[in-house]
Amino acid sequence: MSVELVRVEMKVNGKTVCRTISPSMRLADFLRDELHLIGTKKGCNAGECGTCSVLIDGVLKKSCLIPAVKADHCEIVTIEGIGAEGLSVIQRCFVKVGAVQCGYCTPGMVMAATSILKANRRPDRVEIRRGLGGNICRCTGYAKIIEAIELARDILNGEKSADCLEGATPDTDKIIGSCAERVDARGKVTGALEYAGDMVMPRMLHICLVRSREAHAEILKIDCEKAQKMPGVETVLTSADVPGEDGFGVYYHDQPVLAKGKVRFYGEPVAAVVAETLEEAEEAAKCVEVTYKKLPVVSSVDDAVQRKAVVHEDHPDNVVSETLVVKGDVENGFRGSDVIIEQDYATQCVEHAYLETEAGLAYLDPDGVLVVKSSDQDITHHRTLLSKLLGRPINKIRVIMTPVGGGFGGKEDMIYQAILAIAALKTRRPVKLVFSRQDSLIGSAKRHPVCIHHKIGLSRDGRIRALEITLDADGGAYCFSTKGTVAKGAIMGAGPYEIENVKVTARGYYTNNTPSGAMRTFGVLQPTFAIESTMDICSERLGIDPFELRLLNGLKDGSKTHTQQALGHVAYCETLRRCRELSGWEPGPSRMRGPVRKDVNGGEIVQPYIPGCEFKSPAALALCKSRFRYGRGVGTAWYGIGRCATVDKAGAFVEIDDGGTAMVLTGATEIGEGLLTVLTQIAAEELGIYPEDVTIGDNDTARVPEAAHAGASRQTYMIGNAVLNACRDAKAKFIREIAEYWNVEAASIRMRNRRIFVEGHANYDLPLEEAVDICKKVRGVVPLGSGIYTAHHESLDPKTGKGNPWQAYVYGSQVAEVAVDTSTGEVHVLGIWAAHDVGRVVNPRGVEGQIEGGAVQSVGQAIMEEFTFSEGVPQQRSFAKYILPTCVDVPAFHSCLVEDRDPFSPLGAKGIGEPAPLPTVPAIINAIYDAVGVRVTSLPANPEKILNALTKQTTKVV
Amino acid sequence: MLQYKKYDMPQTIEELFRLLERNDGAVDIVSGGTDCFAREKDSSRHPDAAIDVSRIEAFSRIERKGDVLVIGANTRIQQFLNDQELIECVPMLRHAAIYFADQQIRESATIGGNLANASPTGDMIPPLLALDAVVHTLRQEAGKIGGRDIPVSDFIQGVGKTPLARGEVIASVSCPVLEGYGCAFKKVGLRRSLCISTVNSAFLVKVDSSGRYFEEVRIAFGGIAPTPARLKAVEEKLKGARISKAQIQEMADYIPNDIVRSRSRQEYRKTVVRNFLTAGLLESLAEIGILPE
Repeated sequence: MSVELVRVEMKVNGKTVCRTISPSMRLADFLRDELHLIGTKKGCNAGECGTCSVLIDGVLKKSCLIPAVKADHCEIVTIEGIGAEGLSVIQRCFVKVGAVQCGYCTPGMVMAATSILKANRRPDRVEIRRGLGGNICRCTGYAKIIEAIELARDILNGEKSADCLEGATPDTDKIIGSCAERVDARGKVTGALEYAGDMVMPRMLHICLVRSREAHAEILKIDCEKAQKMPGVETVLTSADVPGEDGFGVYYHDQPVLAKGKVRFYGEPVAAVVAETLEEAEEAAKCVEVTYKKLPVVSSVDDAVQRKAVVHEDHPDNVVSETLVVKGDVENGFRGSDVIIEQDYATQCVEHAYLETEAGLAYLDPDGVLVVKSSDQDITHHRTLLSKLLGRPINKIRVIMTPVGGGFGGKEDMIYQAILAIAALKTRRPVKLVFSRQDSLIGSAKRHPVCIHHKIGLSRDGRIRALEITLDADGGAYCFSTKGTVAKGAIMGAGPYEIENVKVTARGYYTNNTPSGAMRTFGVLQPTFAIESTMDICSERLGIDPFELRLLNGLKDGSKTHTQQALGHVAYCETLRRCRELSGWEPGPSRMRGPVRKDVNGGEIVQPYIPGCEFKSPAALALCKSRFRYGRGVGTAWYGIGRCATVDKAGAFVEIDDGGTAMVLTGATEIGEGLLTVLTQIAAEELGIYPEDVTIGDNDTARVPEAAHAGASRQTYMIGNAVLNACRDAKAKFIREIAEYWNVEAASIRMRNRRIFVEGHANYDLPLEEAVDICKKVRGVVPLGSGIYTAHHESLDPKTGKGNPWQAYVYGSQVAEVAVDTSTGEVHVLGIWAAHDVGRVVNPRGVEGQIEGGAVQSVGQAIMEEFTFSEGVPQQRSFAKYILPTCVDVPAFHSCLVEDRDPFSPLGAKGIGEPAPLPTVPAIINAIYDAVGVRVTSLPANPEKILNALTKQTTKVV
Repeated sequence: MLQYKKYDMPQTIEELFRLLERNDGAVDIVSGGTDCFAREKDSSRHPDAAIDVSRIEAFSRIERKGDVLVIGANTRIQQFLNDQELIECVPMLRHAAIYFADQQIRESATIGGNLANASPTGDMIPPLLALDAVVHTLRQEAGKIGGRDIPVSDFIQGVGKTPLARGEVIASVSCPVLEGYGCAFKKVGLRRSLCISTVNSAFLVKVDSSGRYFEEVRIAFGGIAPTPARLKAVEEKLKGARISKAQIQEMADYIPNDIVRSRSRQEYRKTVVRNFLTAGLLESLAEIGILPE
């Protein structure tokens, strides 16, 4: 049958459009490809994420689930049709309350919000949550999105004045610490921001990857001949096309660009078909014939230890790396203990699930420089790798970061950029590669599944005498960040406690599972779940309140860490006390107190979501509620800020510019967390101007100085200080010129509120704009500054782990409240009370957003998410199978921020991105125990594990 | 699964059958398409053509015929939450609809589509089984359009398996308008929106005039076997039985041992079935104001 093209006519955003299209075109593709309305995103192409939600004849629907022909003669409103004349109230509310992070879900969320408020002028919180139930957000934790819609509702109903949306202009001395609006919010709420997948170039080719359908096999033959001859095919790449030295990775360069000789995981790219259209590339990819000889599959750490097969020939024991941390003598400590507890834990493999899949473009610019643009967390490192892989000088490669629609560590790995680069070099045409959701799930790194054993000894008064930990991590087929996550897990895994005798042995293993890599917390979340669960077990055994037990053992001023680093001021106990107070914690040891506690089911939680609660009879609803058992738990954590056990550095340039504005150039990696806004606030305050006066440079290796990667919660700390130092440098030079012009002491000059002046001298007071003119035109000086920041972290002793891996640490404590449905085993997380030390708050709303979003990722890890394998074959290849928390699954948040300024850096701020999710998992798990007496030691605490344990309550450990 | 080379949207039944005839039946018949279009591209099994029936007005009608409500196959799941007539006549379906996918999917997905999919976990199947609903189909034979009336219990025959012949389509489903019944729908999955059921179940309960005895009980479970099914053993036991908490709890003993035939999560599913049985009966009674001691 030949394709019967169809003519369709629609009214899109008020304008009639006619096109003749293929019947297989989805509405989402029609809007994006035919009309270039790229605000409609494609996060899953299967109706599971809501990034493509549009209004069709006034009804909100997912446009990826609708053939364009089905929308013939319909009226479509996309994000581009919302607020066409300035932002709508809803969009302004999203901007105002900080409901925007990476921005990839935002257009769909704004559409859903518009639909909710169109259908009902006064939706309550339950209706709002339900109305968003088909739109996934991976960054915000939904709290601020709900808040934005409630605010919009109240403004539209006249119950609140729209004046509250106007930003109050603070004194420029108070910009750090203010809720400045995100600098990139506008482009995100309007859908105007182009992500890599939205970008098109003239004469662009498309790539489809041929992925391995074996988990472990020798490649006998790759036959591309048939594919080469298919219509539209420009070239087919295999590992033979790598021009330079093949092999890439974060720690070891152990992965070939395209599989070479053998495949080590299911989904490993084997060949790349480059063709005129994506459809032609996909068709040809089916014709690439790969002949394999199967090898035994190393499907677990056990298989790796037993050497069922060798994954990498140069690692015959399948060990990626080992980290030891030894302090004191644990055997001695156990001998002096009154109580010894041993416990095993296991955590599951988890996916980052950023809504923007991996995507990029590459092309040769007119000067022969190879340009690679992609959704990337580490352009400097990628440029270095590309130089080696391509055998080209480093300055003939330019790496540009496109807007990142969520990263969480998953976009640090250069898993496809080299393929793009080689294709562009070979075809001398622009090329584009976009991962499908399945590609992203099977082809990108995951959070390590880890097995942990604890042996802890305590004295009767609660003092920890000794702690011995072994940790085995499944690193998957290639190293990625395993060496680093194993090290960080070992260093931090014994928790924020001062313990005389500690021994941690952590190992990472090669297996034939999907590679594990960096994911928010970099190996620390897993051991934190374990140690904080163990602390809860100890609390019960010793009859000591969990807060008191932690206050007793917690790190304090001057404490020595497990790596024997002497700390300065430590805010850990402060976060404990603040969290206890904030949550109204009822004191007592952790022994299934849920049924008798007075502090649960109060006004500060969300009610468990019961579908149909609005029409069920009150008596039936009461029955549903009667099955809930409430409980609360505590979790705490510490985290080292910046690259671990190695020097960390960042640089920035600043120009005080015409009109009294400023240009800041730095290789900052905004991945949705709000870094550009943070840096803008820092520059504005330092230069005495407003955030809107600051232009902030893009992340482009050819245009900005290195600031290194997005990770290790380092960007505010490292780049924030680099920008501050650059501003100080520019400002000093600028003031020196003005001082000479005025003939006053430079030290007497201030810059504030867009003016430069000598305090108390009306004669020496100029608008900054005029002063810049004087500096440039009279003095002949362009006021430029540069700044760097260096964090001096030491490498650790390989036998004992002794040393100072970081200079800055942060601490956090959380209480979680849950309701467990005793008929199904479902857990509803109802409230999180969080107290985190962040050093200094630059943007309170941004920090809250990190806490909420981080905690909700941990809700997923704690109770629902799981990426599983069967003999190395991933079982969850779509968002229908890989379950993420939706808006009805999330708690109410109460956070309080502790500001214990960093003494080593001028800014004083530390970090929050990774510390935020750490305490949440154990807090939830401990709360489940409190509620129903089931101790979950193997994540996730899904309904099955809990209910099965409830049915045989005598064996409580699952 | 969008690889169609041809996509037709007939407006009338006659047009539909003309198209079916022309395609010799080798087509996907879709309405909301939320399940069909959600699958990733898959070249293994895929007709080249689709016929979209969503614009056939005759399949979109909702008509009360005496004690029966005839619900057009194109009726969208969201309509069971918004349409007053549906809410009044078949409240059971409203209780189920609120658990179905998410609001956006409910705006496209149809009752006919949920039946045609015949998924073991289809959320509208157990309530239709409990209602003793009847599926009305249409097909063209020897140039004449005729149809069959198939009870839902005979309609769902296995995973994705229905008695629909080639070229036969679902026109409507009729449900009795039941007076005085209390109903409940119970579901569990891995989350609470946009969620595939691990177990789902529907309950309809009627009591006698004294309010002390069960007059009729209907229970259907999905998600635990290739086909959702009624729990006749318990239904029989409860007919005429005295209403009490003890009586209801005792019913767990009458659940057949082999009720869970899914291969995974057997133990869990068995416990959920027991718990849902008690919960569903109690909640159904609560809906009609009866709170047993």
